[in-house]
Amino acid sequence: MNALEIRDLTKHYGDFSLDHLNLTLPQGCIMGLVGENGAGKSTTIKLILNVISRDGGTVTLLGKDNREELKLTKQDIGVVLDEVGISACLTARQLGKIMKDIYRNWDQAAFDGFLTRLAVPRDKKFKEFSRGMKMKLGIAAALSHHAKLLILDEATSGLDPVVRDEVMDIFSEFTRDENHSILISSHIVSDLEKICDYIAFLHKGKLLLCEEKDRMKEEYGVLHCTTQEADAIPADAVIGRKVSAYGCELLVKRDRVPGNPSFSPVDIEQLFIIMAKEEN
Amino acid sequence: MKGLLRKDFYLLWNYCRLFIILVLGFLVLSAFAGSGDNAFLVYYPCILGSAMSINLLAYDEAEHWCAYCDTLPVTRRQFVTGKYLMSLICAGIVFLLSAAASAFRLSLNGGFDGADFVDQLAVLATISPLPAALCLPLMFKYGTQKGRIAFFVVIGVFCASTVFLDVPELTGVSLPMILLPLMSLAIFAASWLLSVRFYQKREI
Repeated sequence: MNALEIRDLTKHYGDFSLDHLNLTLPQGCIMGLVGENGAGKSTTIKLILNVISRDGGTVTLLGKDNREELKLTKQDIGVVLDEVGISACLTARQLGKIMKDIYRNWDQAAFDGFLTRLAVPRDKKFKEFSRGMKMKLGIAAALSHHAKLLILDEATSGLDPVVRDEVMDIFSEFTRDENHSILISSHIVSDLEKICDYIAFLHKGKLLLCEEKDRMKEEYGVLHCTTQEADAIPADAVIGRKVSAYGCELLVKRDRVPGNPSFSPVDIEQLFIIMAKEEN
Repeated sequence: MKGLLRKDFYLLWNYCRLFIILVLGFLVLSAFAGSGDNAFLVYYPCILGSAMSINLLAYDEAEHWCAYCDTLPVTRRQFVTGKYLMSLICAGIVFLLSAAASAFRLSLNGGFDGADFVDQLAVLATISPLPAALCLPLMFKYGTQKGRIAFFVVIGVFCASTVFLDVPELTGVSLPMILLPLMSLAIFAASWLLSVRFYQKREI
């Protein structure tokens, strides 16, 4: 069973359209949703959670249509939003009590464990937290009810590198269970590159690419060559190029380049930027 | 639902303490309001009591709790119902305290009259749920910033009406007074259904 299946999902706002989005997140995997501001990442997440109405398409969450008994399905989903959304006057201890009354499977011991591990104070008000601390409390809450699917909207932004690394470890641990999956959107592509099995590029409401990360790395490569050598490479092999005084840097589809040149591994961020620019 | 109410009680305690003190202050003043020319003092605590859920909703929206709630296993109908329940609880408590203050005031003003007291209760019970009933649907439809305008209108109308609403003259009103609170509750129920409908369609 797939944790998430999106088919032809469409949503039109004034001058923005999410255009027939198709995504599949298999169970046990992590998918990174990459895109610039306004690309449609948050809209996609809202549509997945059926918070906003769609104009077309279907969303299947943990095997069920997201319009049917979503309240029950949400018992198995943990979500962390960009703004977190916890009331400013609440403490972590109070949040635990509230969540205990909301989630059937709320695990107070697990919540306490995450608070300790992430060094989140129990009796400090949310409004007194730093942004990173707020995010950590949101993550602790999302992980403490035995969710099968985590949906994270820019959940790592605002965290310092050390904490971000720690949080990434927690996400990786979460998906050791083959029934657990994560959909994570982020601007910080290096984070996604570290933990994701699948990467989806979203640009201006259109899906540019959705592929297994390893396959993406096998499929695309960077070729350093002279301008004359670059001109000899078939146009359909070249995704993008950067010319400098020292030569040419080509982003290419490896199997379309003749001969057996030596490729440098592709950088996901670079790939996204070039694909987005090409699209523009 | 229990979790939502628990959260609202935490918020009430943290954000609305000044409100609570204000209500208590008005209740004390209304208990000593004299012969009853001060309809404003007598009925205003009920308006404040009912307004607490309006405040809670405003905080929820400003702190992005509404959006967060959409990610939890809570339906929008439950979210709206939670706010109406909070409104009933707050209005109910203020109603009981106002009733006690009214009984005290009537005893103080030369003897307790049962009919007078029942009339007072009927008016208090009528007023208590109305501010929330009138404002919440607009807040759920247009957001709390725009919805608050409705609250100021309610306050304005209330203040203006206290000029005409003379407390002791209620004695002997021929209309069965019990109908007024029932009508008010019917408006409250209709308001709840409308809010559920509005909020289910709203895109946050």
